[in-house]
Amino acid sequence: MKRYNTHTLALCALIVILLVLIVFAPSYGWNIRRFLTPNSGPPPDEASLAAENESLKAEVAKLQRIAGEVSRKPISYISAVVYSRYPLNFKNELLIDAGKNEGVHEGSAAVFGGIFSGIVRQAFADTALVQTIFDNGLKIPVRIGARGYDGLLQGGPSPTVRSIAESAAVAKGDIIYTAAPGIPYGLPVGEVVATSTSADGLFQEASLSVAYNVDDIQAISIAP
Amino acid sequence: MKIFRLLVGVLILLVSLAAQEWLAFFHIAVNLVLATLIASSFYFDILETVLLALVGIFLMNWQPAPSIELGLFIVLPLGAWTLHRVVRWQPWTGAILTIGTGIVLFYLALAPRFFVGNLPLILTDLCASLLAGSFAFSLFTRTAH
Repeated sequence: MKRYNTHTLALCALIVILLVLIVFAPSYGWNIRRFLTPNSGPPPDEASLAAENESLKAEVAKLQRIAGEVSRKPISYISAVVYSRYPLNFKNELLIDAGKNEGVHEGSAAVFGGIFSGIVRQAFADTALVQTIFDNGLKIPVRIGARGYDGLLQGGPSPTVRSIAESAAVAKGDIIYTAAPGIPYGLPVGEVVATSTSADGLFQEASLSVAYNVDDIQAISIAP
Repeated sequence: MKIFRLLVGVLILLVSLAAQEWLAFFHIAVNLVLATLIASSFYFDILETVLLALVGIFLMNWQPAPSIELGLFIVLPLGAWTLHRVVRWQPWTGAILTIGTGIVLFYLALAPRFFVGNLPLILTDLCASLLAGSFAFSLFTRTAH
């Protein structure tokens, strides 16, 4: 009987310790999970070159479209390390080690290798949750190509740009860049790989290629 | 002996998490930790089940805030534990039925629309979870004797 009580008390103590860890020190859990997660290593050179190429294309498109109208003030990014990732398949989110105390706020743009990667969905004191473009819930206005056709980026495992005017001359290889309030204008998102007509026949849709693998993201920059 | 069983439980949970992370790396999203927790509820008492569920939550948590997802990691194993005490079914049948139902309920509770649009993904998860849960169940059976 006495042994049973000792076992019960030990279990209760362990439960309390775990509750304290979950509430006050979740970073230990993140570190254990990160230790068990395979590391893809640095992105290959081709990915870096593709990202650089997309950045340059976006810059050219931006300059052709709005030369002289947009402030050329450089953006001072906040660097952050990825602590953990959403572990299930409903969302695609990253937890980063910069939060309100570092100047990160909800709606800030997250950039990886110069490419727009997502939006800060929730900012905590020293951490923040980034909703990536691979999350079904992400929707932001974008522009396409040198003519700057408007579209709506719909996140998901295969992100697409929707609501493109039927008359827009969107072609394969056109750069897609950000045009949303609260996000620096002209951040590259990806390149058009194919276009199609929407189910209702009123708009065009474009599927895009992204110059990085979301699993490669170990560090990210936040535009405050 | 009870502590040894509990340590084995934690170890199996860690192996499930590692397997889940490796599969996720290859873009195969599965819920092996939840399946293992449900399987464990057949062999542990209520406090041990709660403890293992909290270990699972501690390892799976991805943000410094509560979430419905992780709330289900304690509700479903406890539901399975209760069901197992009420329905006196054959252990293997009960385990497989409970793991399968648990995974389906998890998807239905969190994202019913996701359930409709991603049936192949969910079937993959269901198969992998049943396999992992059965494996965990057989290991728990061996350590119980």
